[in-house]
Formats: sequence, C-alpha cells, structure tokens
Amino acid sequence: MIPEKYKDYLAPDFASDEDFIRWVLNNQPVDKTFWDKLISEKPEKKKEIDQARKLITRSRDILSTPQFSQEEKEQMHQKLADAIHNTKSIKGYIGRAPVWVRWAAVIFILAAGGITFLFIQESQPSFKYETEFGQIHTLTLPDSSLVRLNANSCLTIGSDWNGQQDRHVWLEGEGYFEVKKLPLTRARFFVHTNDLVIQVLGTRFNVNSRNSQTSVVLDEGQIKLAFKGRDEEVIMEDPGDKIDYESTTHRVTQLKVNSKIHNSWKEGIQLFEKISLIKIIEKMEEIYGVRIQVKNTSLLERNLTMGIPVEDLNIALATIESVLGLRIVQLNEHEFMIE
Amino acid sequence: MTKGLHDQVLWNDIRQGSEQAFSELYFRYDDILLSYGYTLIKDRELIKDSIQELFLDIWKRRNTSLVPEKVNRYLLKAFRRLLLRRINQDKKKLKEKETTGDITENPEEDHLIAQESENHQHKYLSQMISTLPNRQREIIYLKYYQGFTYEEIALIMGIQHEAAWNLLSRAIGKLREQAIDVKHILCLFLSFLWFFF
Repeated sequence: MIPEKYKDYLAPDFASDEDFIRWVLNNQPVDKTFWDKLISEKPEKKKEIDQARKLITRSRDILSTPQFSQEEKEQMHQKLADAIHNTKSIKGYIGRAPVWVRWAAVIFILAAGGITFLFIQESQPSFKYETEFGQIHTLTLPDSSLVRLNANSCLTIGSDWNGQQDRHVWLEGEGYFEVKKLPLTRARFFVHTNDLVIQVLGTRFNVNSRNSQTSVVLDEGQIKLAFKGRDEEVIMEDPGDKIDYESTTHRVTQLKVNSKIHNSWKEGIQLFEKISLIKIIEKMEEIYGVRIQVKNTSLLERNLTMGIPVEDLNIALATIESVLGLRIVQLNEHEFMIE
Repeated sequence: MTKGLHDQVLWNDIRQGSEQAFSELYFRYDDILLSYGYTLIKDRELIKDSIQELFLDIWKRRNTSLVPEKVNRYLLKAFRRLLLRRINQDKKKLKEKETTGDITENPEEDHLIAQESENHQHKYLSQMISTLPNRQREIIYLKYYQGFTYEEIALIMGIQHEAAWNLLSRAIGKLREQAIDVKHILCLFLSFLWFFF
C-alpha cells in the first residue's frame, strides 16, 4: 500500500478500494497502522474516510439482518437429516397424542420458556469479542481490568460496569485475566465458562475452556471456583495451582504447574516443558485450527520441551520438525502429517 | 462455541461420511446463505428450499466430490447458480399462467427491515439498498459483508475482475446519487414551508 495513491481519493473511491475495505471490515494490525498514519498525515481526508467507513459498516449491518430463528434453524436441519436418512419426520407421533397431552405439552413449553427468559434477563451480555486462528488480542475492560485473549477464543462482557455492581464476563476458549481490585465497592468479578464460574477479588489467572473441559491456572491472588453440576466450591490461593474440570464426568483434578510456562502464550510464545506430543498437537489444533496427524503413533507419548509462536504456524511446524528430527508434509491447506 | 476446525477439514470429514461434520457445516452457513439469497430474491421459502437442495446435493455427492479450495466461495457460487435457476423456473411458470406483477416483492419483509433499523439514516440506507438492481445489491453484500476480494467476486458471479470493480463503483454512485436527491427534495419542501409562514 502506498499513501500517495490516496492523494485524490474521495469517499466513493475509498469505499471501492480493496485495501480500505479490508481495513474497515477486519481491522488487522498491519492495516490499522497504515490507515491511522495516513489519517494523521492527511487530516483533510478524514471526512471522506469517515463517510466511506460509515457506508461500508452500515451496508454490512443492513445486509446481514435476514437470519433464521432458532426454531426455523432446527426445523430445516431436521428436514435435511430426514431427507438424508429417508425417514419420516416425527410430526406423526405428536399428531397421535391425546388432546390433554398436547395441551400439557404446550403449557410445559410456555412455562419452561418463561423461566429461561427470566434467567436470560437477569444478566444479559452486551459486548462480544472474538479472535481468529493464530491471533492474540488484549482487551481493556471498562473497569480497566485486562484480558489477553488467545487464538480462536471469544469473550462476552456483561452490561453493568458502573463500579457498584458485580462484574461478569463469559469466556469460550482461552484467556489470561488481570483483574482490577475495586476496594471501595468491593464489586466482585465473575468469569463464566460453560462448565464453571470463577469468582475473583483482584488477581491474575489463566482460563482455558474448550469442548467440555475448563482448566484454571492461578498466577497471583485468590479465586473461588463453583462448578456446574457439583455443589462444592474450591478456593485457589497458591500461584501455580491448576484445576481441571471435566463437565461430562464432573471430575475435578488438582495439579501444580509452573504458571509462568503454562501462561507463556500471553507473551506470544507458548512454551511446553516435558509435555507429550499428543498434548502439544491438541494445543496447536486449538490455536491454528489445523489438523496434524502422526504417522508413527508411538511418538505421541514422547515428552518434549519447546516453544511455538502463537501467531505463526510455519515457525511452529519448523520447530517441531527440528525437535523431532522428522519431516512434516502438508497434505492440504489445513492438514499436516508428521512422517 | 469457539470456532472449530477449518471448513476444508470438515469437508474432508463429510467425504468420509461424517454426519456430524455435515451438520456443523450446515449450521455454519445457513444464515449466510439466507442473507445472500435475500440480495437476489425476497422469497424466504424459495431460499429455504434452495439451501436444502444445495446441502442434499453435497451429501449425495460426498463420495465423488473434491475438497474446494475455498469452501465459502464454493458454497456461495453453487447456491447462486441453484437459486437463479429456480427463480427463472418460477418466472416461466408465472408467464404460462399469464400473471403479471413483481414476484420479487414481499412487503412484509420490507416492513421487517425497516422496523429493525435503529436510526433514521440506517433506515434510509436500507431502503436505498433495497431499491438497487439485484446485481448491485449482491456485490455490496459480497464485498462489504463477506469481505471477498474482487477476484473472488468475479469467480462467484461469473464476471471479469474489472467488471466487478465497475459494478461496485456504480452501486456506490447510485447510493450517493439518491442520497443527494432526497436532500434536494427536503430543501424544496422546507423552503415551501418557509413561504407560507
């Protein structure tokens, strides 16, 4: 991209420029740097740029509105599944039920819906941030707490941040939290995952929640964990404490780890110390969204000590090649094989 | 849910008969195909049928299909071909019955779009977009919502690279032109009021 190119650009020219549109839609760091600089050097362009930006984002929002309702989604998917299996739909069974059963079903569904609605109303999330594969991002929350979000992760932030009420965030994937203490109001901080709730007073810790498992590693301070599907609560207070929770079996495992190494991804390099190849591959599949196969399966249990850059898959693969002394072949764009 | 595996990995699993991968791919694209379909025709049922046909087709041909280079581009292109064919079929049927009138209009949906928009400008732009010719609306969708490059758009719409760029420029021009028109009318109206008071 050359700044000179945009010398005579007006809003419509910006709005049809490939690089400009990419910046507006994705806001990648490379593009951001370029355009921020351009605006500061050519402030007279700011008005045109703002106009073009508005046109793009508004059009995007307008054109994305048609969406299926949850009910419609399920219905269509069911129809498709039926077509695949060539079976009749379940409608027939409902039709055969006696009248009172049908009414009971209707009342039950309405009641259940009402209760769910109340629960959703109670604490409604208001802002969502997602990271791509191979991308780390730092978010500053309204209370100036920091969250470093690992690749392929999503953080949703609750709506009450006036400092008086408890703070709530919802995490899918992996995040490292530095929670700001609010000593005056003692407003608590909660991290929700699919499987558990973490209550915080002011501290640093890492949460990784994927599939049906959540792992929490404490770096500093004190946190309290409440598990979904278990009554007891666990307090973590020593740095390096690690708790894994598997929500399908309700199993809680306590471990001690080196939190510096475990949470090293937040500086951009994920370190592994004597970790089995299979665990490393699992982590890489999480971060980069690729699939890695191993020809010689006896290697999977081999423990390795190494580091991989979260934002660069090629270097990660090259590192594994040199640590194992083996070649990695690319099967297709997103699948690799360790020979 | 966080994002799962890449589309191509899913596709490969579908080729090996995984229904789970098939469902995942379906749920990943149903809303995208619906909103894309709306740029071509405002007929929800027709769009729904076409989505079903597209996925049924993918499943039927899973054994013989190759993994597309870009799954999203492939799906949109295949869907477009299918939907346009169906629209043409419907048009023919209507001709046979000798009915006239604009079949692409669905007032309920217009109302819905208007209702959902929050502020005036937004509402206004959405009206302008809905009055654009189909292909211009389509390219705005592919560029501003899906973020495809001109090259990819050219592949999907089956046109030349430069034609894609021209088409988008024309669409932008039209949106601005209409905006100016309305401002003009508004000014006239205001001066008209001024005259009376």
